[in-house]
Amino acid sequence: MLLKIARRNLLRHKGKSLVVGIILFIGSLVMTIGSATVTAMEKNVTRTFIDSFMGDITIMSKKQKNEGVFMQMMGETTEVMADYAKTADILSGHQDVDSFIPYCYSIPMMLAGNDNPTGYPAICAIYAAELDQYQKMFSNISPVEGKLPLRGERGILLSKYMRDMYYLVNQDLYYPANTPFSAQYFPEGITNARHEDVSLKHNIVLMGYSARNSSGDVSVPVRAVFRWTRLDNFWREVSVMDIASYREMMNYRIGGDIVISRQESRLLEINTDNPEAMFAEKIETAGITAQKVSKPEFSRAAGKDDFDNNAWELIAVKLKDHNQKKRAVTIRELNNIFTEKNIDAKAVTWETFAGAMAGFIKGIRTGLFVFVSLIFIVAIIIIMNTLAMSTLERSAELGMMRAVGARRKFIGFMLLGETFTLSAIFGGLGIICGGLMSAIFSYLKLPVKNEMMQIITGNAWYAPEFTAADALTGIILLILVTVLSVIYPLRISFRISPLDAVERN
Amino acid sequence: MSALIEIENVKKTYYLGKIAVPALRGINLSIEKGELLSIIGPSGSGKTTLMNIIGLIDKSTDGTVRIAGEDIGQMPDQVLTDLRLNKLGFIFQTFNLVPVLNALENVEFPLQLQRSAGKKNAAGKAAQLLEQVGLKDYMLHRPAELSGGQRQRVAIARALITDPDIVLADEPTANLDSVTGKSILELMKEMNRSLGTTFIFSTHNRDVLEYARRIVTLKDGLLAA
Repeated sequence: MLLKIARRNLLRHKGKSLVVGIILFIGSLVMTIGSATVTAMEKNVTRTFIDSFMGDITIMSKKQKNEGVFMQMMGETTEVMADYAKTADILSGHQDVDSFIPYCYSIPMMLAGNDNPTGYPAICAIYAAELDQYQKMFSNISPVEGKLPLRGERGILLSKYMRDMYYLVNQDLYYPANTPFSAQYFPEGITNARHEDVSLKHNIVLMGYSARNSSGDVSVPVRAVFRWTRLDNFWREVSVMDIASYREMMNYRIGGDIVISRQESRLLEINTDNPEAMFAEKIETAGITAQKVSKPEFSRAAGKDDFDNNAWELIAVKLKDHNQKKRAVTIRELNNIFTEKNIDAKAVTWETFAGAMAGFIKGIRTGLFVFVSLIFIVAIIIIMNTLAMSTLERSAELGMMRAVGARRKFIGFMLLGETFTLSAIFGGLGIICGGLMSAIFSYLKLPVKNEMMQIITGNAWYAPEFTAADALTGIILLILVTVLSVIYPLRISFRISPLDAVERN
Repeated sequence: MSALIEIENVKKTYYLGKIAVPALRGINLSIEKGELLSIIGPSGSGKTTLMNIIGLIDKSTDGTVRIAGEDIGQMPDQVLTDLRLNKLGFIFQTFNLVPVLNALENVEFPLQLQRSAGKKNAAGKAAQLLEQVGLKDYMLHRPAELSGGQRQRVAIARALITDPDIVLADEPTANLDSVTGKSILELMKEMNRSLGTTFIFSTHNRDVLEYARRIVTLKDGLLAA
């Protein structure tokens, strides 16, 4: 009887039912598509950050003060891990670790190319690793021209974006040696440029420096111009280099093998206020003995080919399980081991490593949540108001029911039945349509050109992913909206007395 | 043996802002089981107020109302609701039927609230009552499809379906033409006779008094001598 009355009342008040229904439909539709977008974003961001670039965890030296290495400024120090080998052993034996790769990352200065000494210097973020290992673990480099260097080969993979930038700033056009020149190498939109008008280059000169190291420079051949396979607009300023060239650029030499004589040390300590002393014929060398520089203290010894093959700044670690709670446990375990064994390493989340970038993504996610919440708040207010008006208009009818013996509970359940019926029909339809539209968008892969939007979509196209969890979230939110919308009308109905049946007539 | 309804010094005052408007100014009345009582009086004399208090849909400001020996003054809302459902039947001046239910469903409604009768039994009893009130052919009509007199008959059937001890009818003929009004009163008289149900109806129309076995007159909130 209760549901019968509820159902017929909805049909009797078609206009009001339709207003409430449409609001529920639109709210559910937007919420479902929004939820599918957030799901895609989270998945794509996870894929991009964890699977394609950073791993779940980053290991760095304990001396590294700014843990947000990825967003650090040019010239900031990325400390070298003093105990890479021991750290790698621990990671290899840890049950939660799927794979890991050591690498280095910094922002050296790009000096003018090999035959244009007058060009403007530029910066170039460099990710350096064993490139075959990198591709095996992350597989995120898609060469546009040229190809990846073989193991042991030196070279830089220049991002397409940075190649365009260097052309626009210096009119230097870099492209891989042994590759025929093509007018397509010019940045998009440059149509009138001619081969003869530009300086064509195959080598880049980079100068690495940090607060700890004095500068060194290295000339590396351009092996390929590439795009990042995933989220190119996000990483586009980062180029990739072989690790040997990087170590040379940063002067990471084998500190433990370097012997500095007292004499050399004395020379270094010479009083610069008295430059004459530097050219003295005789320098006191009595009692000179060799001393070793402690391992982390890298020193320059130009001309010597003694770069440290174990000099790594960072390790990207992929876990078997990407669950955040499990990751926190793994990080705690690793840090405990590092502390117990006095190893110069600490584990942080990729979000910490990504610094402000992770905060930015979190901000977008929060923004989407706030947007969806606002829709719901507006929907709740409109539905609540419509239902409250409807309840007041039906005072006589509800009062009569109370007069003939209906308890408040009956009236309440009747109103709940009406509202939940509307919710189930229109809200359910909204969720189904939202799911279908998400699937259609996902199939169409609508192109997204705006970079901000690309961060939301996680790709250069819009492909929301509607999952069972999204449907469940939608249903729970729909129930929540319905309950919140009906509270006030219910309170009104509870105040309706049998006397209203008499007085309202 | 005590009366079915005992009313002692019942007063009711309404407030229009700060102005007190007395509707009942001390009513004493005793109603026995099986009576067919008419409360008459001009408009504003307090008939509806008294009916509402007896029918448990309003509360007195002062005084005591006992139904079957129980003081209803201190009863919580839920108990009063259950009393209205199980012991009382109410016929409103404006019929007050559920617009979305047909005549049969409207009559069934109190039985459905009671949940004591099965669905089939409720429908059977409702059909029987509708037949008794002459609406055999209108059972599936909704209130909007019935005339005023037919709606009031449905209301009477609804008031009787729970076999109440008391049926209250507040000006049941006020919205009906004289012929239909008389037929409704005839029906109530017949029900009172055949079922032994106590009927109390209020009216300001002295033409219908012949249907009552006992008449009480209200004037300015007091029982007239």
